[in-house]
This record gives sequence, structure tokens and C-alpha cells, in this order.
Amino acid sequence: MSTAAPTAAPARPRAARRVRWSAHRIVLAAIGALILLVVLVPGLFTGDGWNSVNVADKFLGPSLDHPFGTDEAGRDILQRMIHGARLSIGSALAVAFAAAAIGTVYGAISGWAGGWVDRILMRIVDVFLAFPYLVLAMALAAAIGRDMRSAVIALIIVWWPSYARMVRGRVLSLKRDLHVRAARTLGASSAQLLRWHVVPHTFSEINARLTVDIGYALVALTGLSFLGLAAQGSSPEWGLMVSTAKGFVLSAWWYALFPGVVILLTVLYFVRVGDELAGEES
Amino acid sequence: MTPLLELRDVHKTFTGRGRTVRASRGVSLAVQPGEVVGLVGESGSGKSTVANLALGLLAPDSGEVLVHGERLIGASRRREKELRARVQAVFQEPLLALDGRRTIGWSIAEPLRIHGRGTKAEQQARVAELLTAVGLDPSFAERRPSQMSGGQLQRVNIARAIALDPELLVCDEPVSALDVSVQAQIINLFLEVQERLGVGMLFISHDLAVVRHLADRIVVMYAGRVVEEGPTDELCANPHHPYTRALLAASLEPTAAEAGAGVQTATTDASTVEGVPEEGCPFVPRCPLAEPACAQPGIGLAPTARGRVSACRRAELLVGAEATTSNSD
Amino acid sequence: MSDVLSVRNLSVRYPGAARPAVEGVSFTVPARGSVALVGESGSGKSTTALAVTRLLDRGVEVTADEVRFEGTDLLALGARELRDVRRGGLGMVFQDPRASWNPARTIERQLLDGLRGAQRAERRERLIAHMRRIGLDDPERRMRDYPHHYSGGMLQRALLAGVLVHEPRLLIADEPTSALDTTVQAELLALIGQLRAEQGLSMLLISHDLGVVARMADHVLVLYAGRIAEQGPTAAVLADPQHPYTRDLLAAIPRLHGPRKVPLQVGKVAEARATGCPYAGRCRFAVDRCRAETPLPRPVGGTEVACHLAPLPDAKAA
Repeated sequence: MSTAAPTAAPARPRAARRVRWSAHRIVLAAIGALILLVVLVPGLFTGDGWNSVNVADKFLGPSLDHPFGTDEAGRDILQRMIHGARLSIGSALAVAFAAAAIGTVYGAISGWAGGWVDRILMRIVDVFLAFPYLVLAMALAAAIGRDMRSAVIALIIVWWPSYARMVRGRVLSLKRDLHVRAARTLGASSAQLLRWHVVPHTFSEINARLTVDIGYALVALTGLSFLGLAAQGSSPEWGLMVSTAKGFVLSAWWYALFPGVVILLTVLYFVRVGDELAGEES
Repeated sequence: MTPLLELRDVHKTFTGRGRTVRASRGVSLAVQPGEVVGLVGESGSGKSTVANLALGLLAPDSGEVLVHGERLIGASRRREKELRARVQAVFQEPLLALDGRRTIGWSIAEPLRIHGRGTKAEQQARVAELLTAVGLDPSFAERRPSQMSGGQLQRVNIARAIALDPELLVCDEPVSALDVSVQAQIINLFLEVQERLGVGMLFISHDLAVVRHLADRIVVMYAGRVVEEGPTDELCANPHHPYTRALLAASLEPTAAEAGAGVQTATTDASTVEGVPEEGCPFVPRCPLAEPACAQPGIGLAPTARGRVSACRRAELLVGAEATTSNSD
Repeated sequence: MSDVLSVRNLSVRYPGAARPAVEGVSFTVPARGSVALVGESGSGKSTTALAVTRLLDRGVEVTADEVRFEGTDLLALGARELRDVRRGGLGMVFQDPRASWNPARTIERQLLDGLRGAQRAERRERLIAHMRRIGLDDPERRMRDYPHHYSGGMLQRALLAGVLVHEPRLLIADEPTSALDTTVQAELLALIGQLRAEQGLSMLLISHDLGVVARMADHVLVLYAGRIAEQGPTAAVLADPQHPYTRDLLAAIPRLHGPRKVPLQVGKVAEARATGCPYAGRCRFAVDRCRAETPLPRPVGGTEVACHLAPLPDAKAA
């Protein structure tokens, strides 16, 4: 038996699993690293006095000292935003990951079990999906409590069903795939099949949607704060800042503008990354 | 002697989208230890259903599927696992049978992992041993399926299938997706594996010539039923069922004598016939020997000679006649 | 000219490819004759047929000294003239029966597409007659069915009927039975043989199956890596193959007669070479000259062989 070099019958090649780095992607990755730093160690970028009230400096326009200007309490808006990133983006991350985790487990169990279990579990999902999600989020956020933590919980509750549906569909089709059936003949248990061969094949789809959802969750969270249903008081949460700023739009235009633009850009960033990941998948 | 695998009067019907397909209609067959049984049939014969039933991927509607005399489905989880270790599979599509996200080495080691055979280092050594046994360099363990050709991947599948030293290999059209020269290599590999390990095989294919090359005994299926069974040489030289005869005649061999001779068939055109009759012999619409009595219910397998059975009630017309090599009737 | 199709020195190169997909292929299909292109995947047999019928994408480079159908230079034709040729003298049947049909339109509509008025009515009558000929009972009713009501074999037959209505002189069949069951294949091939005899039709058959080729073709071209390895009358090529690839191919096919349970003869495992003879990597006779210099076809014995070492010393195959 000869040791073989590639034979004459080529297999159809699938996309390589290595990421292809373009200038575009390097930039995206760099921004991502920056965001991560800001969220984890905001103190790296600001001094200690970022939240100190200094009435004398109130409503200063954008300048070298205060690139985004100051607010009604004389606090530097840029520095507040840097610390607020942890709240806003961090909470958005929490919503997206938690919803994805819960939805994946739920959907995988439902799809794998099939039969009446699947039907019942999906009915429940249908009920959730029947509600317009923001209305439901607002109602829940108001009911659970008017703070960031309740807002996050409310959004997770609203968000997980769409993951469940997506994963369940994928699992249903994976169940029939040859490599899953082949692994079953090897003696693998259902748990092993799910863990090794089924769920991992849902990851790329989940990742693409999850990244985009970070952006959408950010919009939802800042929106809830804007409506007074999430962050309260002197929290540097971005949506709350925009809410406060709306009373001073004419006099201190920078106060509403900069937080709003940053929210927009951040959301766009996550959507862009999500698209890139989805592109890799196809 | 308990057969490695036995199907007893197995029935299986699939319903979906308003259509009912009776894939298995009273199928019985057995594979003895060390024996290679070839299962031959075209599409709609039910041979793939037999493979899935034998592997416990499907439960029969009625009848028994026994591995070493025990039922696979319905056995305790632990017993099922033990039985599965003794019956392994090689499928038709080499690439799809492997998890594309895993390396070759991971996939070959998977049965060892599942059944807890050896430490990680021992498993790796075994993987290298298996790769060499199927004619691949051990360095292939680091590759991914998408980097390899169909023939190489089928070797990998065979390596994975023999990892646990099984007693029975169920091979469902394992060479049908391969080019001629690659197909020959894999056939040779199956021969070698069978000889060295003494493993029993249920080798399923639509290609009679391939099956003939490997099998000791051949089972012929048509429309969900077994229509003939017998030792390979005898069955191929002297078929006892009109369908087997048609299959032999339709297996065109490249010999100079037949060059440019065209093809003649004794059967009625399959594609002009709609459906298979519910009662009586399923081959009636296409059979050159059919008479009215053939459409009556109650037709089944009957012995026609020593070690041979046929489901044709007019088999005596065929017993003793030569199989036509040039295919005029 | 008694040759229906004449191809000389055809080469095809895909954009960005290191090597041509087809190189230096020459053959003729005589009137009422049948020629087969045989090879495994990657041999270039389908590409040759697609190149001759101008069905390759625009970016693909097709060059030849000559590609003539009944005297007309196919490579010089414009789109409209090509379409007329494809509808008229040149009929084509492809491999996958399901892919050749639009699932959303009836068989009748698809076969009579583009025809109007008296021409359509006349063609329709002929089509009904042909459908009956191919074994379709009650063709008028069944023509109004959709493709999914037909089996694979039936679809190929219907396609044949549709092609024959146009009274072609040459039928190009690219793996027409590869997707079909063995017995269905035999029946379809028998039908093709009968129809050819009735209509005096020439055929260019593309197949990987030497058994099919043996029965259906008078003349065969064995292709390897885009080049002709051997060509000649089918009987000669099968009785006494001169090219190592032809021999290896024939030896690798499992047979219904003769020894069994013994290893089949297989060549070495290697990729096709870019320089010299493409088979040199796998050939057990290869010498240095084979690796350096590409052999050109030359007559040896009863066939034309592209091999430096032919005639070979070994005993002949099957």
C-alpha cells in the first residue's frame, strides 16, 4: 500500500477557516480593541476628576481642553462618555451574549428533541415574538424596575426567542447531516453529538447575528435610558446624557450632538463587523 | 452460530408530503462472522433503508433488526454503545461523513474517545497506525477534510470505521462517488481490510461488478423486497430471477467483442411505467416472463437450488440457463 | 463533406488557470457515425463538448485550427446563428435530467418554446409522434404535466424527443445516462441506438463509463488531463490498448467475469504533470524523456497514441 500524494480526484474545496486580513479588517479589529480597552479600563484614558462637579465651567463649548465640551455641571463630556461606555456598551454586550446563550440552549434542546417537545417550546417562542419588541421591552423595564440592571434583564427576555428560533432551525437540519449520523453510529450519545457536532456548527451564524445585535441592543438600551426607564440620576450612561441634553439643544448643541453621534458610530461599527462575519460564513 | 447482523421480516414505510413510500417490505437477511454479503439494487430498491436499519439509525415499523442476536434500538444506553462498537459504517459521500470543522486525526480518534479506549497519547498513536494501515501518511492527521481528495477521505472514513476493531462493516455505496481509478484503490483497500481483520461486511452498491468483486454472497433487492439471494459466482453465472438477469445484462463491460454492438434490453422500459403494483410481484410491469398469475398476492422467496432462493414463481425457466453476457433475450 | 463534425487542434483555457483544460484535441465525427470522448473527472471531455457547442462562459479562451459542423465554422458564428444551429442540426442532451428542465413550466411549453403559429402546430404534431415513439403513452395529456411528474429516465427520453423534433444530424450527449439507474440506462441507450439507426443520426458521446462507450461508439478518444492519450476504433482500443493510461483504466474496472477477490491493478497515485507527458507521474514505464517532452499522437498498431514508448512491451489488457 503506497503512501499517497493527492490523487486525481479532487474534492470540492470549502472556504478555508483562516481569516483573510485586509486593511479594512485590520482597522475594524483595531477599533474593536480600542472599544474593549475603553470598556474594561476607562481609567486609562481619563484622570480621577472626570465626574467632579465644577459649576464655574458649565456649558463650555468644544475646545482643546474639552473636546466634547462640558455639561450643566461643568463636567467634561468626553470623559463622562468614556466612563459611560462601560455602562452602555457593557450592558449591550451583556444583553446580546445572555440572549444568545439562553436562546441557543433552548433552541438546541427544542430542535434536537423534536416531536411534541419541539412544538410546545416553539409555541412559547411564538408568543414572545408576537409582541413588538420595543413595546415589550419598555413595559418590562418599567415593571421590573427603573434602573440599568432591570433594563438589561428586560431586553434579555425580549431578545432570546429569536436566537431560539434560529438555532432550532439549524439544529433540525444538522440532525439529518451525514456527519452527525455517522458520529451516532460510532456510539456517541445525544449530549456528545450536540456538544461536538451540532452546536459548534451553529456558531458562525450565531456570531454574525450576535455582533449585529450588540449594536441594536445599544440602541435599545440608550433608548430606554432616554425614556427614563433605565439609567437614572447622574449616571454617565450615553442615552441618559442625550436625554438630559435635549433640554439644552439650542444653547449647548454639543451636549446632544456628540453623545448621539458616538452612539450612532458605535452601532454602525457592530453592524459592520457583524456583516463581515456573515460574509465569512458565506 | 449467531449472525453478526440479522434482519427478520423488516417493514419500513416513510410518509411525507402526502406520499407514502414503502421502503422495506418484509426484508430478511443475515451476515455471518467473517462473511461479505453484497446487497445490490437500484434507486427505490430500499437498500439504503436496509443500511440505516442495520446501523440503528432507523427503527423498523415491524420485524426485528438484531446485532449479535440483540436489538440495537431499545437496548439500554450502555448495551447500545457496546453493540455499536462492533458495527461500524462507511458511507457514500466521503466529505460529508466527516465533521468539516475537525481535523482528520480528531475524527479518526473520535470512536476511541467515545468508548474511552486508551490515553490521549495512546489514541494519537493508534490514529497514526490507522492512517498508515489505510495507505495515508500519518501527517494527514493534522489536515482538514476540505484539504483532501475524495479517495483520501474515503480512506480516512475506513480508518475511522476500523478503529474499534469492529466485527461488522456496513458500507453504503462507499465507492459510487469516486472516479474509476480511485474506486479501484478503495476496492483494494476493502479487500485488504477484510482479509487482515476478518471483519464481516454488508456491502451495498448499485454496481453489480463492484459487489461481485468483494462479496461471498449476493442479495438482490427490488422495490423494497429481496428478490434473489445466492453465492456470488453462481448468481452471476446463472441468475434465478428476471430482474437479476436484467441487471447483469445492463452491467455493460468494456470488451472488444461488444464494441459498437449497441444495447438491447429484455425488460420493458422502466421509465414508462408508473409506480409499482401493490400486490403480486413488483417486477411484473417490466418483466419479460410475466403472466397473469404473477400479479396475484402471495409471491415470496422460495428455494430454487442449494443455497439459493428466488422470488420469481417462474424461476424454473431460468434455473440452469446461462446468464446472457451479450444481452439479447 | 462526409464528416458531420470536424475538430482540429482545439484548446481551452480558463482564466487564471495554470494549465489549459483542453489541449491539442482533434477528431472527426463522420456522417451516421458515433464518436465517444472518455475520461475521468478533470480529463476535459465535457469541456471539449462545451467548447465545440460554444457553451462555455465568455471569459474562457477557446482556440482551434478548425471546428466545423457540416462545413460551417462554429467558432465564427454570431449568437443568433449559433442558436439556429443548436435548434437545427445540432441536438444536445445533458447529464442531469432534473437540471435540464424548468420545474415551473409544463413539458409541452418548454419543448415548443419560441415557436408560433403554423410552425408550432406542425412541430407539436411531430413532437407527439416522437413522444409516443420514446414510450410515452397518451402523450398529449402527459405533455401537459410538469417535470416533477416524470422520473429521471422519462425526462431524458422527453428531452430526446424534444431534440429529435428538430431533426438534428448530430446528437451531442454529455453523460446522458450517468444519473440514471443501471437498467434504466440500458433502456435509454437501447432507445438512442434505435433512434440513431432510424434517423441516420451521428453522435458525439461523452462519458466516464467505458462499458457504455464500448457499446455505443464506433470510435473512441481517451482523454487524460485535457490531452488525447489514445484514439481509434473502439474494438481496437479495447482489444489492444497502446497507451499506459488506457491499459490502467481498463485494468481498474471490476468485471463480471474473470477472477474476483483479488486486488485490481492500479497505477501509481500522482497528479497530472504540467510538463512533458501528463501521465508520466503515474506511468510505470515512464523514462526521462516522458517527463521532459510532451508526446504527440501518432499511429501505432490499430490506434493513434500519444506516448513516446508505444508500442509497449507488456501483454495487452482485457
